[in-house]
Amino acid sequence: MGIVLIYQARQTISLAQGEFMLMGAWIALLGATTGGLPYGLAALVALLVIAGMGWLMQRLVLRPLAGRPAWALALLTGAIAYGARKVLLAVSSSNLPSTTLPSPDRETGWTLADAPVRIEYLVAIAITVLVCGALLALFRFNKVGVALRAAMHNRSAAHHMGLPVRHLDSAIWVLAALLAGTAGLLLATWTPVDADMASTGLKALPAALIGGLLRLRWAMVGGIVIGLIEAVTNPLLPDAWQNAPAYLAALLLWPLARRGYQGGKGVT
Amino acid sequence: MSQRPPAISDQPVLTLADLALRYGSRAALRGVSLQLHRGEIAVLLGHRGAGKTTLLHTLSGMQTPHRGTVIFKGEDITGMDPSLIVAQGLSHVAQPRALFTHLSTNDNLRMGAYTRTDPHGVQQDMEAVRGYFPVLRERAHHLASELFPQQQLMLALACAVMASPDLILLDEPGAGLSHAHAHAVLEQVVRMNRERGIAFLIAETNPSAALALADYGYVLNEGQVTREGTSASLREELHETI
Repeated sequence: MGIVLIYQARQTISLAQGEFMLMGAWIALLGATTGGLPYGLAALVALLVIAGMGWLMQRLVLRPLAGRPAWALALLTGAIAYGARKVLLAVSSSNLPSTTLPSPDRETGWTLADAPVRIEYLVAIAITVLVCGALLALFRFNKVGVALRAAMHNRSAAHHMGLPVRHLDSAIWVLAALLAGTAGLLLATWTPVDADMASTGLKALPAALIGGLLRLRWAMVGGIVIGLIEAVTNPLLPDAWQNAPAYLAALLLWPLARRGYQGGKGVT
Repeated sequence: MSQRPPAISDQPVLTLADLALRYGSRAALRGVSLQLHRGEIAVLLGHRGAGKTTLLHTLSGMQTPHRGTVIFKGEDITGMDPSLIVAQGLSHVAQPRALFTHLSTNDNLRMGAYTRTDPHGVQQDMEAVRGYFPVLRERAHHLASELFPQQQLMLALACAVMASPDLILLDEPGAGLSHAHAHAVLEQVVRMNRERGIAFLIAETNPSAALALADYGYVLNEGQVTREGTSASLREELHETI
């Protein structure tokens, strides 16, 4: 969803979403273990830091480059992300074993149709639904949310109507980074916080592509489609090929999605 | 040159001094100076490419001049951020109409009032603009893209009014509209001017429609003001030369 937001705003793709995710999880982990903060507080700190980094990224890197070709911006976000990941790993490997976040009720869970249902999954699903709902509501009913949508869609009109376009640009990146950070926190409750997590995060890209890069709602659908595809194919494929189906599906479905959605315009 | 009619306040709302702007090596504005008084309707005449649209864009902060100053209500707004200029009370109805086509009529109006901090006043003005253009109430929940061209012009004007401006720059109100439609909108422009004291600077290629309702006029030619005067005197002059 973050990728869709940024694509809408600048017609470019942020390849840093995975790293924002990793970073969010990592900071929370560091806060909870080394810092000894309660989990909720550590998560809050992580989100604040991530939001700040999203803002900085827009402010220091993308604003000065406004008007440059989209592929250049996309490459740049990728390069920064790659560098950040390396630095993070170099720092973390020394004092942090790859581990999951402490989750309150690790052992609790139910069995549903012979499949174990872990409480972290349910919490993650609930929070995801909540966040998606909140985001859609923001874009529909809130004045700033409507302005974000408006400025993403038509920058020149936004200038003419006196919308603070620069602030709105920053807000988009903060929002996208926050979404990634939240995803990282949720994922970290059952996945080890390591470099692979960023790759998982980048899987948002095929999800966004399936959604046609145009609408948040469809990015959500894209995410579910990816999830279903992986659920079916993962047991059948060797480890090294686990990520392939998602990208393959995106390649096949994207042109279709593009054409299918061209009729409707808008962000939500 | 004839004097301005005495009914209009002699306090300037807008003063341009020696405004110049270049696109690469081509000069689009070559030292434009003009003055608009509070509550005045002025028309800016000129051929396509004379620099009218560039001038309006420079006033609303969409472009930065390389020379000269724009003084609005006594304050230098040259090169200021467009959103700050709107907040100061200078709105711009651009051509083509700058609307959020994927948002509803109502949401466009809300966005027009974005810079304001008085919810009560915004609500009052929402009613006021629907009084000027009742069709905006009927089509409140339609997307702006679904409106007819004359309705889009009405919406763009209404959005400008929602910002509670002292001056509206109106670019080519007649563009793409029938004579009757353009006339109907211009009638409401006069009403807004009389009832709310909003000054207008209207750019037009065709002298007849806008000049008839303006108090004062400027003729822009190749980026320079070549003639100015009351609309009556300009009309006579133009008749002689054409």
